[in-house]
Amino acid sequence: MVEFYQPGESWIHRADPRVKLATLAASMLLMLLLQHPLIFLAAVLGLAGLYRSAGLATNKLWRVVRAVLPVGFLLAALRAIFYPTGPMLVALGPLQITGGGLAQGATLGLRLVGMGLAIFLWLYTTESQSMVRGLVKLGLPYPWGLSIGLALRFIPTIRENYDTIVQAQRARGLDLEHTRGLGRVRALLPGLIALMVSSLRAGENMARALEARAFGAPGVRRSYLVDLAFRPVDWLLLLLLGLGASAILLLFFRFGFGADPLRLFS
Amino acid sequence: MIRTPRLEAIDLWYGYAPERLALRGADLVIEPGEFLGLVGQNGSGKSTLAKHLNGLLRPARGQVRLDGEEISSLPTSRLARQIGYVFQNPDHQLFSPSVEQELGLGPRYLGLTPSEVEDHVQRVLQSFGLQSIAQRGPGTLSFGLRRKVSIAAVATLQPAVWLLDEPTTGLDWGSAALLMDHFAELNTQGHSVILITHDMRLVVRYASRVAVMSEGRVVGTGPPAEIFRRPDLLQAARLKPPPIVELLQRLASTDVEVEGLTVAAACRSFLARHREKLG
Repeated sequence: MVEFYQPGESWIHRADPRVKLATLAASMLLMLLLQHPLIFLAAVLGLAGLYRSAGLATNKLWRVVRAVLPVGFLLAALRAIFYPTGPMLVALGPLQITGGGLAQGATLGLRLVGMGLAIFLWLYTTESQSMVRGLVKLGLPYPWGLSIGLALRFIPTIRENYDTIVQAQRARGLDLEHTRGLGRVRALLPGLIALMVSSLRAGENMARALEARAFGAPGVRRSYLVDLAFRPVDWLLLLLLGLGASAILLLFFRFGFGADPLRLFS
Repeated sequence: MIRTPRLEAIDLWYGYAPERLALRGADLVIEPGEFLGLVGQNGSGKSTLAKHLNGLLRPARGQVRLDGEEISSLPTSRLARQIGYVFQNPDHQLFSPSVEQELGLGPRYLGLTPSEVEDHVQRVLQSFGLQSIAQRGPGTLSFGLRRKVSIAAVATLQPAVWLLDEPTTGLDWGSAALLMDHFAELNTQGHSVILITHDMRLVVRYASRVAVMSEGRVVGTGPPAEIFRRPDLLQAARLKPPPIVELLQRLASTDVEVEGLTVAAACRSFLARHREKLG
């Protein structure tokens, strides 16, 4: 089965999944709070460094950037055009590009790229088994954790199935090369139905297979192959995360660090 | 007899990712009206090569020719009427709320008029014996019937060349043989059939020629009897000959010379050679 997880032995791979989850949650929160584009540029560069440090192939990084960038650009452009604030840069009739609008647009675009990179760094470096174990240790009921793990593992498989389904449509004469816009969406709709049917069938089969292998056996407390234990380095990482996040929050609330898209300190 | 084109793959190279090359200079010719078995272990490039023959994949290097004309840049929709592709999983090929609508999907994609579509659908419903389930949803049918509908849906396009990607997976031997008999019949009418399979019994029973793939290349072609006598090829492609061939090879080491790729042929050969001894 194809998975997001890229096997490796880097320190990020080896870090406890709970530490990684906490880091992801903290970085998401900070990325929603902060507003200055330079901070996001630094975050994106930092994340690129972490990808390198995790030993992930460069095309993994680009795949995420390529997937997120079009939406990021669109959001950035819309923001820059429709929310003119701050000093005027260019005025073309009703179209006004202002410094504030541009900075807010850049923030939005880079925020999306940053969030995408952070989420996929987590997915690329965390095996679904230990991801589920981490979530369960944090209090999530096991069936929920398993569902999340399976759903994440199934995304690439569903993608592969969808590609095959579209190929089957094309093999029967569907012309996608000359179909654009709404027509393309309409043309692909039957394929989505086939995808739904085959995914539901696969899901049902998997549920039966799990049950046949004693999943949810009554009156039994299940054991685990992967058991998690915090190592000293995990405590250290957690401490660094806590200190780093607290420092940024302190700077943000006390000195307005990153609160304004145009000024680093406001 | 229908007019069937000659298909040619010349030095095809293709990779799903830079580090994952699926084809490394594959060459293959499919003569008009040929029944070709395309065999090789998993990941040897069989499906990837087949998907180049109807334009589903475009080669990084090399050419695909249809009657001598380069087609590797033509869209699949232009080739759908000449080359039909049956995928391994029927659930990936059924898109419509009823069998009847499913059968009409391809002709509608090709812009045929409603009466033409109706003609095609009724003809195929009849020839595949699907009239009684014409209004049923394909998803509610048994696996065997879903497989049959997925093939019938390609048949409405009346392709001259059939690419069959492991069409008998999940079928019992009887159903598989019945299905393959249908393609043998089409073959006698002049259709080319390319059968991708791991079942060597099907290959010896139906194919007139075998192409063996290994590591993205076609490493040998020839009649089944010739191919199964080449241990180097069988080993390279990790192929196991049909049980009867293995039995005859063992018998040969005990000086009992019998030929044949099927049980019937082996019995005939045995009787012809040993009739006198048997009295």
